[in-house]
Amino acid sequence: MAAEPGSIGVFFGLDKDALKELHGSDAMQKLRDSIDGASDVVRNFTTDSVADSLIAALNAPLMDVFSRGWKTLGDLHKYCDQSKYPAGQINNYALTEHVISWSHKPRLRVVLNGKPCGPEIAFDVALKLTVSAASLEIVDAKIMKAATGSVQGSGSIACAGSTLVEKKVSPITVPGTYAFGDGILIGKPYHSAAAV
Amino acid sequence: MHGAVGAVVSEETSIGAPGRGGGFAGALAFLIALMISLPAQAQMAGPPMNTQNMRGAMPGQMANPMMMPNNNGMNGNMNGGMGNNTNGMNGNMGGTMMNPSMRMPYMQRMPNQGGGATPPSGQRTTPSFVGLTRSEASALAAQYGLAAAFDGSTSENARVASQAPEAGVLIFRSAMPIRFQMEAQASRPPAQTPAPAGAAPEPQAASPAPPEQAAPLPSAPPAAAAKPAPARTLTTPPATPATPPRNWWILAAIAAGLAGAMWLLFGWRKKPEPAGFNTPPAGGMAQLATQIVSTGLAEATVSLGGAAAPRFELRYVVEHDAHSDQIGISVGGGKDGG
Repeated sequence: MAAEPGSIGVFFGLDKDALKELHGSDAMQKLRDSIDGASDVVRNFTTDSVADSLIAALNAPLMDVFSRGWKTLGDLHKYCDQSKYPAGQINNYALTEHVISWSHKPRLRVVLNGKPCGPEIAFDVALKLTVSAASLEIVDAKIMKAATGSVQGSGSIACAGSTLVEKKVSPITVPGTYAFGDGILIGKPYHSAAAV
Repeated sequence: MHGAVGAVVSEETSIGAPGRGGGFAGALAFLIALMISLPAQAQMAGPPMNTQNMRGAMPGQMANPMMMPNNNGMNGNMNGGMGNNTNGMNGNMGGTMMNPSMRMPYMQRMPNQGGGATPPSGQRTTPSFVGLTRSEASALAAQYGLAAAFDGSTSENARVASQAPEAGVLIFRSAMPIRFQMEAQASRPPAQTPAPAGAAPEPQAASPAPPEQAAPLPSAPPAAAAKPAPARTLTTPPATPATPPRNWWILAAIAAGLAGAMWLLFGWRKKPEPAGFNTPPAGGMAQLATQIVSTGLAEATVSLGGAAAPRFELRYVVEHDAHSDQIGISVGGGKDGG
């Protein structure tokens, strides 16, 4: 499964070669040992299977990481007040340099002949992105579009304490504007001006 | 995102999988056939040396080799024990044998040397006269108290071709008539075996024998005694241990057949595997897949920092009916509204 452009997986440059450390990890070793009754070919293939699944799990757009980070910005919640920011009003919100820290734990499970074998494999994915500037378009308490300046950062993927992939990204310019489709809801719209 | 992701690895270790059922059935049938044939072959194994001798001496007659062992103590001349002893052999060897070249017309006159019970005189049966000359037949008939009558050829060389009643019929009274059909023959059969000199026919014990009765037949060559009959009768019955080798060969053949069947059943599909290569699960196929239990995105922790710097905010309102409603600009976030 190929990673989509602009995904977390692409950020890490994930492919089979990038995850070659995975094969020798303790987690995979335990996993292979726990597979009984299968040939070495099958057991060795678990690494490829897990790597493919990890790439699939990290196929989320990197912009989701940004939007989830921007949502946490408390200052944006004022756009939920429709008395001040009526429906249909387009609001642009500009951010100077900021840092978005992200971590999540995808978990995978190997199934042999329909039966789970071995423990679940948990990965620690961590990202720390520094965005030089960002412009958000907010309509109806939703982030509809975003445009960013240059982005740099680092990230790592670890499994059972051992780092599998470590990535550092030099400042890159993300061209154009990214649309979020139906928008990313900042909060529930309301009409109470006093609440602000 | 929680879906089965991964790949399936299949290992096909069988050859001709579609025909596997038929091959199995065939091999099973072969096994069953082997099992069935086992006892039959063991029985047919028989005494090997005996049958060899028998085949050499009496082709065609001794079809059942199990009859061969001469265990009644004759140990020499089979004729003696089988002649008139009709209660033991019941006419098996009497008269003409199945092999024409082995005819033993005097067999019935041989004394019972085998120690078998002598039939009581009141239960005697007619002997076989076939092959005898007129005089010989007359003499023998007299011994048995039969009234002989001859039909057919009157030649001196004529011999009895058939008799009525036939051999083995109970002589129920004295002077019972018996008729012989005589046929002239060019020469006497060469394989006539004379009666042993010391063997006196049973009827002689009851009545004095005619002078020609004790003497060997005039036309029978003396050397005939060493001919085909001794080939089998003089052969010492082989010892029992001689039997096993052939049985062993048969058992070995059966074992080889069974091994072959087992190989057909189980060994055919097996491929040589390198050391440490585990056999895959039954069915020869392993399905390996990796499922994404959770992408973790929903539980991701995200924080935003360093955004407290002065910011620039631009607000504008969509125009309705070519009238713009509001436009607001703020710097540093300190001012809301227009």
